Formats: sequence, structure tokens, C-alpha cells
Amino acid sequence: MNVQKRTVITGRGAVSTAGCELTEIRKKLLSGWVPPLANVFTMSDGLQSVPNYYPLPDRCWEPPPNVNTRDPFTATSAAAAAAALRDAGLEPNSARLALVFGSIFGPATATHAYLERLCRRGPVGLSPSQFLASIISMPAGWLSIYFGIRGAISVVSGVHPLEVARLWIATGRENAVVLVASETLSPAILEAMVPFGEADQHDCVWPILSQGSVALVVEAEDHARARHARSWATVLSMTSIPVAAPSKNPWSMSREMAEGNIRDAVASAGPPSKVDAICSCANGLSRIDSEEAAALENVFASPAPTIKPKVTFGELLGASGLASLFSATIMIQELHASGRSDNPRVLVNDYEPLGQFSTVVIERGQAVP
Amino acid sequence: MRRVGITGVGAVTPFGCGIGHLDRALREGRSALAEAKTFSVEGLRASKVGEIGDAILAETPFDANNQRCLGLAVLAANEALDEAGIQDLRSRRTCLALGTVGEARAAEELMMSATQETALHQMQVRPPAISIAAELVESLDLRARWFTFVNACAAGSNAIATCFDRIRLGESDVGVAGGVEILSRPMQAGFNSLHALAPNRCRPFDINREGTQLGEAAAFVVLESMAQARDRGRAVIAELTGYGMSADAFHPTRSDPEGLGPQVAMREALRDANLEPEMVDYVNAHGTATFLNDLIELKAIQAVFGERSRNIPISASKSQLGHAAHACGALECVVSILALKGQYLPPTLNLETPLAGFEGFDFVRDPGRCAKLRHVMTNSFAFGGFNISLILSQSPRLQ
Repeated sequence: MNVQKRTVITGRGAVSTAGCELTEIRKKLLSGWVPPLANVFTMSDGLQSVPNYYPLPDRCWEPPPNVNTRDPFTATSAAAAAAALRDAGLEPNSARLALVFGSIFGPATATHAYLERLCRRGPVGLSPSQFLASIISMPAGWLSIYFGIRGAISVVSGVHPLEVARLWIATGRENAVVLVASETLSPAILEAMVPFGEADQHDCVWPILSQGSVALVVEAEDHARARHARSWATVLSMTSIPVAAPSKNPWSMSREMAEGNIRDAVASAGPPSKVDAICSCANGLSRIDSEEAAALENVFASPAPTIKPKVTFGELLGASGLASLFSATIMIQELHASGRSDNPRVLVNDYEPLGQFSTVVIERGQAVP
Repeated sequence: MRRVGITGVGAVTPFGCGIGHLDRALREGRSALAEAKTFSVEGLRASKVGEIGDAILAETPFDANNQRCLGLAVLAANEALDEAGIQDLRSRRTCLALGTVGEARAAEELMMSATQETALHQMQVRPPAISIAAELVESLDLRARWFTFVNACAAGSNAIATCFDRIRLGESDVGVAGGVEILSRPMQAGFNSLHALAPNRCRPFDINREGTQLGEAAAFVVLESMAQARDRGRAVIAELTGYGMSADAFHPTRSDPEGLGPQVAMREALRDANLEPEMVDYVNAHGTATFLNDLIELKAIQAVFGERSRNIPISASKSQLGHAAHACGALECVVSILALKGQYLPPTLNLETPLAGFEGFDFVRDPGRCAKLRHVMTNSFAFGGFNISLILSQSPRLQ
């Protein structure tokens, strides 16, 4: 193989705090809509200090008919993937597809149920299905079955799924990759985040955690063109770097490192060196938000319009990178439709807990021939 | 794209800390599988595992329970980096890729000693997999772009393949890739619920096989471009020439009866490495010793290699080391590298009567044997239907 192909985004789907329909999500995202807080978990005594979170709207998603799972993690992932494939005009089972699935905590509800069953009653009588449902990679397996995905599959944790898909496309290994990222919450996950809150004199501030699934279809540019697919955006560059010392605090960031990463992404994207909009990774913690803002200010002489997807989607942890990229494609549409730019270019920052900071630069996709 | 060589390997296995221990045990055909000592197997059908003694971590800063996964990974990765002779990693564009699901051992201790509520709580909030890669980056003093793969038995190979791609594309100068897996009661209980564990012997490809036995290990390789290795004056131990990946899209725990998914992975690996099937000299099989998987893997090998399949030496290292799940792909990659380097074939232990229909295959039984090896394939097939095959080739210097 001796190829380096460009990646384009051709399909989008989401099951999010802002709903499941693209029009509704777009409206809420661009208006800076904030979801209502909730905490429906029954907390034990030790969990009283856990912050609230953003829940998903009641059953706004509809998984494809052949998806027979009650696990919300897999069901919402399948619903988002189905929407993205539909948007890309790709039929399940019809062509070779690949999948990169991302999550930090995986199917938390099923894992909780398995461990609780094992802990309380021992291994005798444990059901195989309970064990399988608790495995972090199993939802990706189910998705491959539901959608007839027979190409490469990777399941990543705390890594932007585009990182892996981009390599497959660049080397010519795959032509079409479904990216899915998902998080659900459990009391234990919420509690695990407590030590990383931010002291603010009398109170503590946490990033408001959230639930949801986001899916994008990415393709090799020539593949998308050959099948006359609509391209929402072309990926011009992607750079990533660890920006924190993880043992000290998983929610911290070095301005200098972030700045270097953003500069690299902008330079790799090619001229012009300006961008028309920015999707920020701001999640409400000042030690991340202020560092990112300062880094952006140092890179760009005049500030570009900025949206903060986490205001609307919440902190989606392992799914936040895809949620930001999803949001950036909406920004591109908006900038183009409003006539502010013929060929809008958007810079997308993502911060994964423990300090992986990535920057993606995307541009409006070329018109369908 | 650039050619990629392996310039360092490291492993911590039940045979000991270091490649030397593993190499000797493979050549001598020893088994590491024995009664579990460090966690409770109460109520489980099978109690034999490939366990790493706590003493290995005793002289390290890592706690044998709370930081078992990290400690093993640091030892193995450091060994690989030492062999590669790379000291100035902070100034290089480094990629760290790891297959793991992280620590669970601390929770095991609690399950045995504390209240159920405390144990359950600890198990749920144990550090997620990504924390291992993040801590590893810090322990090794890297400024690496890191990847964590959690696709079960394919994770370690996936990690190696990712560094391979980044170096091929010129995006990284050095790749540190591998896997780490530790034994735990929840994992053992899960495999027990699937009736996938052998109470007596792990005997891949045997007609009387009764299941697999789990193991723990950390295994790492250092990858860099062949040109960079040459410029640094470092010996390339083996060349990573290609890989193939596929999904079954069939069933959560088994391939379709003909092994179509594994066939695709193996064929793509051959194509990626620009090899014909008759050029492969040895297959280090996934070989779990479970009832269906062994049969399906052999059918897939037969379909891909045709007539040649009867003459390719095949062995399954899980009979010696146990099934190291997220680390097994990396571990068996290291085994394949040792085979290439030493020009020997490690054996499949406990293989007495091969599976019906495959009696004429060249299963490498105990003891292993010397062989002329130029190209080796190693397979990893995971729950969820994830398949990956790597191809390693003899270092050009040695050919």
C-alpha cells in the first residue's frame, strides 16, 4: 500500500440531551440551550455529595427494528449509528464498513448488574449473558451484528475515534468507517468524579456529566465522491497530545501544550491560517476553560465565533470528541447558509479526562459532482 | 509508506520478569498453568491459571494489588525500550498504544476481606482502562500520543497495528505498543459462566479439549522505521510487514461455522504484507482450546492456505501461558518474534489427538523444534467477533 487518502464526514447521528433529530439538536446547540438537571439514581449514604447530571430525554430514540436489547448503552449507540448511516446514504450490510467505538466507562448499567450479582450471590448461577453484557467492547460487537459491519473494528477508551479511523483511511485499509461513542452513567461513575471537582470557597464545581451517543460516518474522499455522497466536512488535520500529568489531576491542562497542539493543527491544515469558528472543549472547570481560552487567544490574533457544545450536551467523557465534531459540522452548515463564509473552516478542540487534548480542523465538504 | 521494524521486546509472564524467562520456557515446553494462589476461586469450576507471582513487583514502587496492571506494564515496556536503546523519547514523536481493561485486583482483595457493600463499591469505581496508559506515559517519562484499546482478545494486537500505521505514515518516530492483563475473580467467574474454562488441562486443537485457562501477562514491543533503526545503528529483531482486521457480524462469542471473519483478517494481512500463502512458515494460532473456536480457526486456516495448510507448522501458546485476554495478542506477537529470532517453533502442550478432519496438519507438539522461519502469522480473535492477524518477517539483516 502506498496511499494517503483524505477523510470526509458524510453521516451524522446522535441520541443526546438535546434530542435525537438533527434539526432540533441544531437549534438547541446554536442557541446555547441548557438541559434540565436531574439525579434519578438512588444514592447510598456515601454518595450524597454526587453532583447532578444531564439525563437523556425520555425515549426520544428508536433503535432499528433488529436491535433487541434493553441496555440503554447499546440501544442508544445503535440508534445513533443507524441515523448516521441513513444520513450518509449507506445501507447496512450493503458494503464493507468498519467501526471505531469509543467509551470510557462502557455499559455501566450492565457492568453494575454483573458485579452486584457476583458480589452478593457468588458465581453459581451467573448467566453468560450477564457477563457478556458487562464487557466494555461487547456493544461494538452487537453493532457489527446489527449493521453487518465486517471491516476492521476497534474499541477505544479515552481516545478520539477519528484518530484510528483516519489511519485506516489514510493507509487505504478502509473506505467507510462508522464512528460511535457513547457514555451512560451510574452512581459509581458519578462518585468517581467527585474528587476531581473544583473548590470554589464554599462550594465545589464539577463538569456536569451527561449521557448520550454520537455517531459519524467518515469516508475516504474518493470513495464518497464515487458514490456521489454528500460530504458535510473534509478533515484537514488532526493533532493530539497529552497535556496533563494524570496522577496529579485528570482534569487539568497546560496552556503551552494546548497552544502548541492547536498551532500544529492549524499549520497542518494548510493556508489560510485563520479559522471561521471554534468548537471549544470548555466543560465548566476553570482550570481547563481558562487554559484553553488563553491558548486560543495566543494562536489567533482576532477571536473567531466560538460555541461550547458541552453547554448543551454536557460532559460526555469518552463521547465528547465526537459530540464536538458533530457540532462543528453544524457550525459549518450555519456559517455557509448565513453567507458568512463560502468555504467555512472550523477548529474543534477536545479534552479527554486524564489529559488527551486533540484538535481537528475541518472545512466545508466539496459539493457533490 | 515506511517499512517498520521491531527493535525491542519486553515481557512479564508467569515464567518470570523478562524475555529470557519466556524464551527458555517456550523452548523447554514448560507450562505456567497451576492452581490460583492470589485470588479466590471459590465456587468456580476451574481453578488453574497462569499467574504471575507477587514477588515480581516486590522490588518495584508498584503495589502488587492496587497497581498490578501498571506495574507489570512498566516492567515490560521498560525492558522493550532498554533493548531498543532509546533514551531520548521525550524529544521524539512517540506513540504509546496499549490493550488493557485496567486494574481489578484491589477489588478482589476487598471481596475476600471486606463487607459486600465496600467490595461492590470499590469494584465499580476502579480506575478505567485509560488511566493505565496515562500513568504509563508518566512512568516512562514520555510525551507520547497514547491509545487505549479495550477490544478484548484483539486489543494487544490492535495496539501494535496502530503504532505500525502511525510509523508507516510518518506520524510517529517510535511506537511503544503492547498489552497487559491481570487475573481477577470477575473475569474468572465470567468465563466460568460461559463454561469456557478447563478444569484440568488447556489442550488446544485436541479432540478432547475442555476449555481455556486464563493467564496474566504484560508484553510490549518497540517499533520504528527500518531507516531510523539503521541510522541509529540498532539491530532490527523482526519486521512487522502487515496486518488484517475484520469483524464477524455473526454472534457475540463465536465466528460463523466457516470462520469467514478470521479468513478475511488473515487474507488481508497477507495482502498487506505482500505475501502469498505459501510464503508463511508458521502460524501462531489464537488457539483458545475452547470447543468451537479451535475448530473454526482451523477451518479458516484451511480456507486461506489451501493445500499449504497441511504443511504450515501451527501452535497455540495459550497451552503454556494461559489466555491473557487483552494482552494475548501482544504476548503472542512477542512469542512469534522470539520464534523468528531463534528460528524455532514453540509447542502446543497437551495435544494428543488432533481434531477430527485435521489429523494431517502440522501441529507443533511438545517438544518444539527448530525450523527455518522467514514469515510468521499470529492470530487474535475476540469476543464480539473482532479478528486481527499480524505478519512478522525475519529481519532483513538475518535473511
